[in-house]
Amino acid sequence: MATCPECKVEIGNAIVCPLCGYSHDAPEKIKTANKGLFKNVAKLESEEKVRRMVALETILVSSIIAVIAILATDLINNFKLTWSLYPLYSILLLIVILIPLLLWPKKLLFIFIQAMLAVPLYLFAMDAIDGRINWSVKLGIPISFSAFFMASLAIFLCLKTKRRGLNVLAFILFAIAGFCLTLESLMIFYKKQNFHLYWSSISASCIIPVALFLLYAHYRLTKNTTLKKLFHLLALQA
Amino acid sequence: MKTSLDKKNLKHSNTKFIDDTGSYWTLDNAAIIMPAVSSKRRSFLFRVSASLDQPIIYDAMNQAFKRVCARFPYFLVHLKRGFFWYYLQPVPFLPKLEYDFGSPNTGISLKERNKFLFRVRLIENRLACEFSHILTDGTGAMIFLKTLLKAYFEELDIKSGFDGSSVKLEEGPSREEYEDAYQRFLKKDLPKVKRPVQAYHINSPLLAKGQYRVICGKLSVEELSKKSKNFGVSINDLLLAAYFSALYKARKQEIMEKKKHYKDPKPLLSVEVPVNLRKFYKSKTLRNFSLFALPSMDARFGEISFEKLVKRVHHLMQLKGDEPSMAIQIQRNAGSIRKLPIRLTPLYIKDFFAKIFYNRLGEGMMSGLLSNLGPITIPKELEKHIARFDFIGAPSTIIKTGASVVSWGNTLYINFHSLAKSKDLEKYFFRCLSSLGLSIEIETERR
Repeated sequence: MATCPECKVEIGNAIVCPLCGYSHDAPEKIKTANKGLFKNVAKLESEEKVRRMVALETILVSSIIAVIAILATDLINNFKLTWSLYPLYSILLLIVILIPLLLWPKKLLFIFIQAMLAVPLYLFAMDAIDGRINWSVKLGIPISFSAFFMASLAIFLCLKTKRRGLNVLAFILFAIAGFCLTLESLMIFYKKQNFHLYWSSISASCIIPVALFLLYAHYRLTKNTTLKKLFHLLALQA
Repeated sequence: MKTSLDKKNLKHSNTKFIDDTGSYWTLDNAAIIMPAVSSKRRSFLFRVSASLDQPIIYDAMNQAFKRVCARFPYFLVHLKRGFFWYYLQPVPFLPKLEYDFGSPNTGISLKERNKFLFRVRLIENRLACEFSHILTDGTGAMIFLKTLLKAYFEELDIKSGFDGSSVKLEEGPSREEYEDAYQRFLKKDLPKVKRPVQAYHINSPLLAKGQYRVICGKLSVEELSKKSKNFGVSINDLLLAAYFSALYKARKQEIMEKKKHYKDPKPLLSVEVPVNLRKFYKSKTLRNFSLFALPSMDARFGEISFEKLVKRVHHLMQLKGDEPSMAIQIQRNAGSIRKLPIRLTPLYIKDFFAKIFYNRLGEGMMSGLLSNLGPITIPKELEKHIARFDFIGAPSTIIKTGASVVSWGNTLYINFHSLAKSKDLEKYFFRCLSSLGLSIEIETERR
């Protein structure tokens, strides 16, 4: 049985000493300290990264081809950039959102904030193509912010909850109801009409009770529990 | 003659309650904090396993498992959240035997609902039981494993006598088996536990999520016993001294390698040594009933010779591992949850404070862990069919590396289990033992 000359322990048929990394085949030490017993996880991680890089490359190459085609068509026909700005901005937005998603998929907060900033900028740029700022500042950007706010609220609640089920659906419904209300409010302000909510109040009054019932079903009905169990105070009931 | 405290203790030690939906169990005193502070990495799962002389026959094991599970209804539970406390909800179905694949003691999170808090895993000739500390401690898990082994061999027509190391399948569980023994043996008006001091922890990044490294060292019990007798101490004291020596060296190494602007690592070296309270208090409980001794050394005094270290460890263990030291801990832990303000605090608030205090007052005080289940006994008829036993402690993100010891026959198995990338502690520990002239065989991944 092989023995590690440094640790003075028997290492069986192992190629390197599990303690210090000494190899009896090669005199130099092999760095094994950073390797766990179960190396599959690390391998899987690297394979996944390669796949993401391939996807990124594919998206970038196909976007460049699309941009060249659009630019060429517009320039050949009009000798300047006209309609092509709309698809170009859209492709740019797509790339801006997808790159961080593929490069840093675990930094969800960063991706979310980046998307939250990119979309209003995109709307502003689209609005400014004709040389005038019309709808973006008063309508487009507030709507996009309200959509992101409601989505982030729903995501936050879903992440905070320990047992996910019907409650996730309820949080999404709450967010939809909230978005409907803010959307109609913003449209009223944009049109400078009297503030009176019509369709959004009807949709919210239908959605919210359903969401409340889902929460009730999730937290109360789907658990095999009684009030005694729920409010057990240890030896008070012994 | 029972005193009023005895009566109160008996009342508080009850863990089984009945309501309209059937029975349910409360968590024992040691388990109460665990759901709040658990995570995917800090799973509180530990493993006891037995390797047989032959590959395991699945059908026979499955039959035996069904019989044994029925005997331990207090393990067939899911963890649920109440308003004031967590509780254990019995479930009418059994867990399935699992294939023993991947890292041990990982993959069950207490945050996940509707999951059993233990699992039995098989691979080739190895049978492994992984238990959450919410259910039981090493002694309880070992009794479950031995009962399962006995039932398995019965399925194969290998009969064995009853030696008291397992439970009888034909008898139902007694109340004492699932009692909260901490509550039953609570003594009052004892001195308070001294304010804990934060201890040194190995400075190492953690392994990737889902990984848990185990390095096993095999030693001859005879050789080790001889060596410890030379020092006039027990085997456990000798191992503990080697652990302290490794901690000294790991800390020294860290100081040598540290960058200029970094602070020195904390000077206090403390090793948690779990103590089975059943040896002090007569209880048949199969729930948790262990506490720990925490021998400590201050590294600022410098590293001392191994002979002196062994003596110091021996005396520290005599002082800190005795019954009065345990009674003080029981008084603090079990006594605190009887207080009405604590009982009336909603669980969300308890969870919040548990998370804050656990790291500081729990594992924050410990630099390492040395858990020794001691020699394993099983009925004589079965001895020849068991090749070895193993014990692997629960992962910890703060202590990172711990050692679990068990001996079977003339072999002592020391399993170092770690979430740390660094293997320095294991290296220094085994080098220390080999420097004493002990022959050690090191194993890693066993398949």
